[in-house]
Amino acid sequence: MFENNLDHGKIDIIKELANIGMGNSTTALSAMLGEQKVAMDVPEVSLVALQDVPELLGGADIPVIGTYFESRGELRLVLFFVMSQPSADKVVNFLLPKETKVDTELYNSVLMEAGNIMIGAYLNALSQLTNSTLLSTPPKMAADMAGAVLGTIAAEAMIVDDQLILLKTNIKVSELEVEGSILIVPCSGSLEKMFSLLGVR
Amino acid sequence: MAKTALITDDTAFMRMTLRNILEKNGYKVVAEAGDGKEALEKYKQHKPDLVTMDITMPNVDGITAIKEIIAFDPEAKIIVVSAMGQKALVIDALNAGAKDFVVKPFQPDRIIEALQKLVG
Ligand SMILES: [Mg+2]
Repeated sequence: MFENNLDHGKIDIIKELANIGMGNSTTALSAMLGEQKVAMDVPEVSLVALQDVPELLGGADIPVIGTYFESRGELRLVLFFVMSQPSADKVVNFLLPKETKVDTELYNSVLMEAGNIMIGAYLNALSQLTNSTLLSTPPKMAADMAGAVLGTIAAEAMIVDDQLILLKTNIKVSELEVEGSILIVPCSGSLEKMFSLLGVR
Repeated sequence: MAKTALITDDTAFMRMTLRNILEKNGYKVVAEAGDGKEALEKYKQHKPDLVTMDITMPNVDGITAIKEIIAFDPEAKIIVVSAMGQKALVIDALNAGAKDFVVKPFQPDRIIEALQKLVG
């Protein structure tokens, strides 16, 4: 399924790094949400055709809200935190003090900060594991249909023959009835760089 | 007299959160800044007793802003409040002149403890 330089051993390494990084992200989200339990699926690593990405986000016409980031340090990645509109509403309501007047700027800024903290936690773990420094861009919003979020991914990520490597983890906060996904797309040359930082041949 | 503070973060939500924590604990928030450039301007204008500084921000990042504020006022008391807790960044921030480094997400007590250590 992968090109021959990405064997099962390497896929396992990518999965384990994602597992630790996303574990750090869910711990951060849990702390933000007053220590509510945040469940996380095992990360999936797949080679996805570009046109199939909206399906993974719930369907091209489903409204999703995403915050996205680029890591521009030694490893270039595009990172997304995506939720459905109702889930995003619940997170915003929980994080703001009661009786706060919410306008679009404040609403978006709550989601950007939540994404910022989760993606920051992911990069902190990856930085430690690879002994490198990983800076991120400030958060940006991609509040639109899944099809439009796809456009954002397409513009930022390395895409070869209309396919991209996608790391995806679903998370769930049962108490708050919130579901979301963390998506990570490595940019050109990043996986090779990561393996060399890890000393994997 | 209440100690004065400048809050720096690119998201309005985090500025609001920090403002609430500081005001509840008797600090007077005299200004907010959304990036490092604004932070330097507001620092010069208000000469606050304390500064909270985010790192990842548009235009001018937090590490650069710390250096610029310290160049203007070597006595400036700045604590970093950032989601990026990587060792190299903590070292950069402390070398630039920050006095403490709080990683998000934080407990409000952690912020107050860091500020109290600086101004008593
Ligand atoms: Mg920020």
